Amino acid sequence: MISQKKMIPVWFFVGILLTIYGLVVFISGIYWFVRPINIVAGYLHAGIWWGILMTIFGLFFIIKNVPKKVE
Amino acid sequence: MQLSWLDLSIIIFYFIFVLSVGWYLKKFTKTGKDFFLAGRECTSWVAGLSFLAANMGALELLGWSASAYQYGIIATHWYWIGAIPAMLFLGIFMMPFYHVSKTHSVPGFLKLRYNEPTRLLSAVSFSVMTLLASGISMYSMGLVLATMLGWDFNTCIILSAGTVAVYVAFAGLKSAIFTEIIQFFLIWCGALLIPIIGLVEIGGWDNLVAMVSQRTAEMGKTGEFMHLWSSMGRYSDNPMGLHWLGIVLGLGWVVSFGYWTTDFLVVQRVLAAKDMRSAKMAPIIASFFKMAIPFIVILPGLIGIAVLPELKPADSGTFSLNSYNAVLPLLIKRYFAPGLLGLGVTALIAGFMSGMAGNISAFATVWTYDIYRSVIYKKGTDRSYLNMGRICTVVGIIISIGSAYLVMQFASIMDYMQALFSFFIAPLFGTIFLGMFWRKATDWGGFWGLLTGTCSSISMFLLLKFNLIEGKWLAFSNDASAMAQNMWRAWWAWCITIIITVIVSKFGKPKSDEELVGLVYGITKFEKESSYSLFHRPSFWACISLVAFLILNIIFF
Repeated sequence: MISQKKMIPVWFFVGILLTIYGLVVFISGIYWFVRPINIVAGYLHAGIWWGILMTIFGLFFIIKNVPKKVE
Repeated sequence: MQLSWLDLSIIIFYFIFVLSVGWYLKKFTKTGKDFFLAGRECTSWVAGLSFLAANMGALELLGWSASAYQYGIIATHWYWIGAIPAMLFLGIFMMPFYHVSKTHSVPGFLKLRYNEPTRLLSAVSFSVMTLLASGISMYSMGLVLATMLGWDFNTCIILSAGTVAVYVAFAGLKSAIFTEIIQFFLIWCGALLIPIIGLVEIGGWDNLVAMVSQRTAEMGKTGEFMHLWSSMGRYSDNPMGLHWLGIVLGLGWVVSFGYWTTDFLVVQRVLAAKDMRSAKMAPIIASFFKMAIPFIVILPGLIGIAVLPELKPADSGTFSLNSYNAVLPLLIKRYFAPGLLGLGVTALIAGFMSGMAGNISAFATVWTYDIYRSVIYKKGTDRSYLNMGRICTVVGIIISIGSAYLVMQFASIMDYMQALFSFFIAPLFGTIFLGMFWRKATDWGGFWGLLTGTCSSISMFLLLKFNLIEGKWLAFSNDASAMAQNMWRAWWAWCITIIITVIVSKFGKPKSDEELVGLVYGITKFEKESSYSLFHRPSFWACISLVAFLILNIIFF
């Protein structure tokens, strides 16, 4: 039985990028929470919740589109 | 704007990521169909989002947020009446013909419906305009990044153009579509946060309306900034100098239908759909997202009026950090800490590259299939055309870089770009419209209609430019702005195309019904939607989209 690779769907790549960027944004958000920076509406700490949202979104795409080998 | 090492890492990672995706897709690109039509295996969501992303360049984001700052909410017309009806019409009425005819391009459809000269005329004009548009987009990107981030202009252009050339040459439309979808999500992630934080800072929509009224009065601006239609009874009542009839006939009908249904840059994406239902659904899905784009483009422009009231108009071909054009980057800088800032800047760069990839992949297809294969080298193999596609992707990028430097020398070219593009869009729409919906349109009727319509559009532009006729001859009023005149010109060019095509067709012999199967309405039979459940029917979702469009227009009337 031969196994061959099928093309990975675009949604998987979207998931990878969103997850990585989401984590980076989240971690930087935590950093700026500990060491506040002078930006407008900085009290919202957008980096933290926006990073979490992006990560969740990205993981959803990854889980739904994990590449499988076709037998 | 100073970027930290974290922001720079986010940007560099993005470049590496899209190149890797292109490299990965290369091994799945073995035929011309793979390269030029993405294998014709895209689902409705993939084709639909890519269809929208090809139009969602950064120039569009920066330009329309600047327009919202300058003219107010009226700029939304370009996203709603200037897009939604046309996208739905494409999905329901025109995609079946594009799909059934198995054409690889819009000029290719003209060959099937009319004749070879009509295809060639359309292919040559499209190629020239696409490369020029790509150059202008490249120049703007270099200018924006150089001014905003202090980077070197040449490095910005060569790095991003080189990246696009490499990943499009790897897998053609396939990699263009993949990266466009990735860019689509990045743009939303980078831009959606701006209006959210902006509205929190201002204190909600009602406060925004009050602040915009106050600020525009302080700036000495007249006209209605927060209503879409109520100030369009007279040219002088709105800051854009537009009239509702011009918007409906010019923008809502000719310009938007011309762009969304016949411009190969966007139509190429839906031609890659895997079946009829996906082809019809793709533009309908895109219409929902198109309706939402004003929330990340127009709304930031309005927030800019409230919180950045000091911005000024920019000189032609320039970009400065105190001009209207900078409203979106300035809001990114205002609200985003390092990390998020990198994401925001990456979204802008992604937007630039998305537009560039769209132009280049469309050019590669039209050049290879509609010019090279039909005129220069007719007996090539599929492999030779695939190689030509790769070569002309790189050559197209080099020509675009050349035209970017040409624009740098003659900045006023940018002012005329919209007009230049509209020379071809309105007549092309007339030709394709009659071709699809009137079986008696003849080969030469289509050709002469297209040629006369294009020439008349250019003539009207030149006559107005050199003051040989007055604006009221076209737009019924001398108060009409240049933009309003453009719309009326498009309308008249379309009318002339239709009239000439009909007249010439009266003296010719139409093709037989057998020859027109799959090309003309009334002769072609398509599969009925009744075989699908309600929620899988394109017409059902088109109705939902139309209702949402009407509700939005009523809310912001």
